[in-house]
Amino acid sequence: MNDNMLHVDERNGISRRQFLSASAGAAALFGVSSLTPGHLLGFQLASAAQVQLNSDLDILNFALTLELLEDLAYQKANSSGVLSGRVAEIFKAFGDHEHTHAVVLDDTIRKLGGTPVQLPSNLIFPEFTSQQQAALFFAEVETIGTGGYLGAAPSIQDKGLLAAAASIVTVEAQHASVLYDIANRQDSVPAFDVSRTADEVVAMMSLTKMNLGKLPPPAGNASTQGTVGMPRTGTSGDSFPTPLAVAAGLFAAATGALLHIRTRNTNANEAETSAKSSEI
Amino acid sequence: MEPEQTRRSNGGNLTKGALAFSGATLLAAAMPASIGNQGRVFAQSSPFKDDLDILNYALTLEFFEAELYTTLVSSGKLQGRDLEFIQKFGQHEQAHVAAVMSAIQTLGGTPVQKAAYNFPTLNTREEVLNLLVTVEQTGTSAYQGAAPFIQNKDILSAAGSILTVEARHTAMIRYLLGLAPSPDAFTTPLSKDEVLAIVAPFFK
Repeated sequence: MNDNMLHVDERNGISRRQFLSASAGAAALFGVSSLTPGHLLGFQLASAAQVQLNSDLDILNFALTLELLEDLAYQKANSSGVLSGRVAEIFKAFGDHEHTHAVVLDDTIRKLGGTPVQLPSNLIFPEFTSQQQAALFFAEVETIGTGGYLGAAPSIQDKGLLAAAASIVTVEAQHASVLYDIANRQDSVPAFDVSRTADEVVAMMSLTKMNLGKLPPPAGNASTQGTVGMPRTGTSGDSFPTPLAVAAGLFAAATGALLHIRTRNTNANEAETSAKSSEI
Repeated sequence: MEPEQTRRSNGGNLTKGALAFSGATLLAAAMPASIGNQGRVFAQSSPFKDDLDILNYALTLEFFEAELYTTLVSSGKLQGRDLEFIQKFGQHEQAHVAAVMSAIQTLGGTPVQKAAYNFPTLNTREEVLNLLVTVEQTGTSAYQGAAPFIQNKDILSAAGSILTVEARHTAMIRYLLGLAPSPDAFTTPLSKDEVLAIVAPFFK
């Protein structure tokens, strides 16, 4: 059984933590319940291991990871040729926003003496095959991002950074609503947004856990034995579209590899290097 | 700020981009170089007495928004998809009123009363939606401006869950108007005084 092991290196001597084993035993305990209207599942993590964001820099790097992925995904969507007219304009604007967010976060992390996370060069992104599919994909990702920022905000210690996070999360939420509407979904705006823990964000991005049976086996590993965890359904009873789920799974597996956040330790001690990262 | 070459490369470092100008300007406002100083500024100069004060500020605005939505929904100037959205958003604001009031009561505070309002007579769909954009954008900026002064983390979390919905309302109504729904990479905070000055004409 393939293990998706996501390792996070933390600065200042905090030891490496292992989180989110996707081995069948743990993942089979994933609960499926929807906490947001209509679209996303709430994940109950079975494993005790957790993402630890122990400083403002950790939070900034977590946010930067999501923004970098969004930036690149939008670039891919915007060059896919499946978008046109007003929708294409909106996608381009939203992608520019994510790029700006990534630039700003990267810059802030450097100013604070941290090392910004970098994307590996071998990411696999989904194929965007239609406007509706692309809009739904990004609506989901933006929703995850919104939840992640809201979940992290109360832990931010510096009020200036909190103000900055507040100026970004609003835009992620706006993107999500507009994109759900473009994807012809009814519940594009909730009455209250839902905060997500870092673990939940990673779990949601790691949709591959729900679709391992449909993905090509990772190089060098035995193929998985059927799907891990429970089938994914929305609250309306609709099945999550298979092509999108597979595509999102590929993207999410890459995300998992990314959330190997390596930050530079300014003390003499070197941070532990992580062992493995997930492979597609 | 000097323009620099934008380099967007997969898997490489990001460099500051020329396209980030408007964002960079807001970066300067939102994340000044002296991050620590900004933190101290927030700590020392709160315009609010305490979290209860912030919640009552929020309640004042939510009462206002809920009543405005009720009035505009019954104005007869909206139809179809516009009307569906505005009805739903009005329900959201009523839920916000209830949630904020409940938070105040749970903390042992006294919620402010709903005020009396002067709403303009609007003649067209565009006038109605444009007013709502202004009000929702102001509401977003109000929550955003207040957030760094909130001391209790649960209240901050609750405020965050409303902040983003006000922002969503803003974007969707702009979208209905055929405008760019989310025109900038960052939304802008407003101070308590600025917000109250904007909404004052609507209060009797």
